Amino acid sequence: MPIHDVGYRSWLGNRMPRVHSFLIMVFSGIMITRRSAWIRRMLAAAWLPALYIGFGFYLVEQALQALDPGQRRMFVEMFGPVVGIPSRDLFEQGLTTGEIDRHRVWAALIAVFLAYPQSVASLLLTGLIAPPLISRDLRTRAYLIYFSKPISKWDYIGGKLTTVAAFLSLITLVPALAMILVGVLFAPDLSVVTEIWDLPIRILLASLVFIIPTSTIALMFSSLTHESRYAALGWFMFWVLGFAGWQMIRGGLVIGLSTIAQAQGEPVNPEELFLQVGDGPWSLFSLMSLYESLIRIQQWLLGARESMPIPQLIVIALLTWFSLAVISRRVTAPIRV
Amino acid sequence: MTPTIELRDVTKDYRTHRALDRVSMTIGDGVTGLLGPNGAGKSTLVKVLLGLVATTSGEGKVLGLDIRSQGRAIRGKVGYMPEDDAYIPGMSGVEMVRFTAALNGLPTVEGLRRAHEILDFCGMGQERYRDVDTYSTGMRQKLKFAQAIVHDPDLLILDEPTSGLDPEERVAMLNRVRSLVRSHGKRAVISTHILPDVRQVCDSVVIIAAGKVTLEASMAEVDRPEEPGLYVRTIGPIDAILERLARSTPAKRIDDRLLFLAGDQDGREGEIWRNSLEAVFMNAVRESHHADS
Repeated sequence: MPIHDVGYRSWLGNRMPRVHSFLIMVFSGIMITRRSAWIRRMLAAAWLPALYIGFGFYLVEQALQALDPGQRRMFVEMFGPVVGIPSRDLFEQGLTTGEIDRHRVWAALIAVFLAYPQSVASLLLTGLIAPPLISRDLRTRAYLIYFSKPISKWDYIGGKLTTVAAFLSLITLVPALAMILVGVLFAPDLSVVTEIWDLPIRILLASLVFIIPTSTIALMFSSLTHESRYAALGWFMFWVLGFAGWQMIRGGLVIGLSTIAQAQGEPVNPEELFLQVGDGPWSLFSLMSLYESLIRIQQWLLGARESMPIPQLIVIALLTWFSLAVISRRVTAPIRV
Repeated sequence: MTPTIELRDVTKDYRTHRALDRVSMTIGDGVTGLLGPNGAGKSTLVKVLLGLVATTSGEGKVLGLDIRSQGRAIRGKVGYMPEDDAYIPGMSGVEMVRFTAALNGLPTVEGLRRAHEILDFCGMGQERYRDVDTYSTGMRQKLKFAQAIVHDPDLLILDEPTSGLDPEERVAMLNRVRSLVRSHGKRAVISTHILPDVRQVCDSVVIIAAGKVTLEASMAEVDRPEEPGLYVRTIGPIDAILERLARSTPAKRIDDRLLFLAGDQDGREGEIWRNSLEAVFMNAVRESHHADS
């Protein structure tokens, strides 16, 4: 017997409160997940767009004010396409006076940041993190270990969801807030805080509205199989097929409407038609794309879109609820038989 | 003292299948063997005891806690070792035991100390730092046992604890169970098919067949035959001895041994007659089948 073996001893300490178990679930999930080199690389890569858009904040705050009206116009014309925002509308006032609607510009920058690079990064990162979280537990029967402890299935599900959400926050919420901080630091004085005070709250809501459904749906796929790769495949197919389906319908409509307009001898601007189809009554087809629906809600929350996307909100809420119901049923299914 | 387990008319139905049929039992201190053929309802009973599945009817208590409303509290006081190969992927052995300690509410640092202490007790060496995915069956058995006792539970529910262990490890595992019960006041329920294990460590047995309790008795009662007797191993032709003995003393032949049905007889290598646990088990199961048909 090793000299350090003291045999069995009773444990007389006090137990931690219930929330401790939940936190341990989250902490362990994060620790195991971050061991993957691919996930660490992806996390690092996902911060690169933040540097790029952060540079946009710098330009807005420093360059625009320093330039004369002629240079300002040139700058705005270059700046817009580079950071992907409709700069003419945003800087209309600034072109002549040098004053900018800071809230609008910052919100637009954040909306671009969250909608394009971070959404795609989140899709990929979720596809790496979420699939094994429940499916591996089903394969190794870890549920027998978890559920024989004083935790409920909602502690378990909450722990898994928070694990995914923590990683997604690291590439959406955290860099977006960091950019706001950078913007404030680059601003001429701290009075900008009074202009943009609600942006951090909007960013928080916009990030949550993206992270919660994404994590829940991805975990639903994970709970449906013992094989992580099938869960990952299901997750990517769900995104890609929905997005591709919507883009095909949109493209088909643009071609059809252009052909009709040309036949009637009306001038055709495919770019405008593309935007019209995206926002008109045909846009209901966009509901098939989770990506498109989430982006619209995010843009509305950030103030970059005026009308409340009610159909998208309903669909996303229903999808999240359905996914939670499936996860809740699946994680305890092996125990109930 | 509060009974370890007390069930009254517990019934559990899965749609059309009745897994437990008005099960009533009272289990006291010590080690209790839970026996039954495959599909008898042992696993369902364990899930009911842990408060993991709701009963269709009936009531019960584990360590004085209600199985219907206090499942979480029960699981905090019970250490469960599943029969199936179960582990948390992506962790080393010590991480997994520390993790389960934390799930049971042990503080993180204390949980790590305790995990090492328990792994020492379970005979796990440096392999505790290896990923559990790489463990052999025997190592996983020890790991499952360690995670079941790391939080110092009052009651152990062990499902086939010696399955997959080599003879030496099997003895060691039974000794650990015995030591926890005898020296540390724990109570244990062992669900197993290995009857010699039951005879070796259990103080009482419960036999379940077709969802019903067919026998609930202490090992002393199970051992006691209906007729007292004495086995005698003989030298020489057995039939002649039997014939001669039959005139004076009731005796019968079992294999190469004689069984006197009354004590105080001279003989060679005498041995008090005990019921075979296998026979008791078979009878209990058979009786339940007869009752069903």
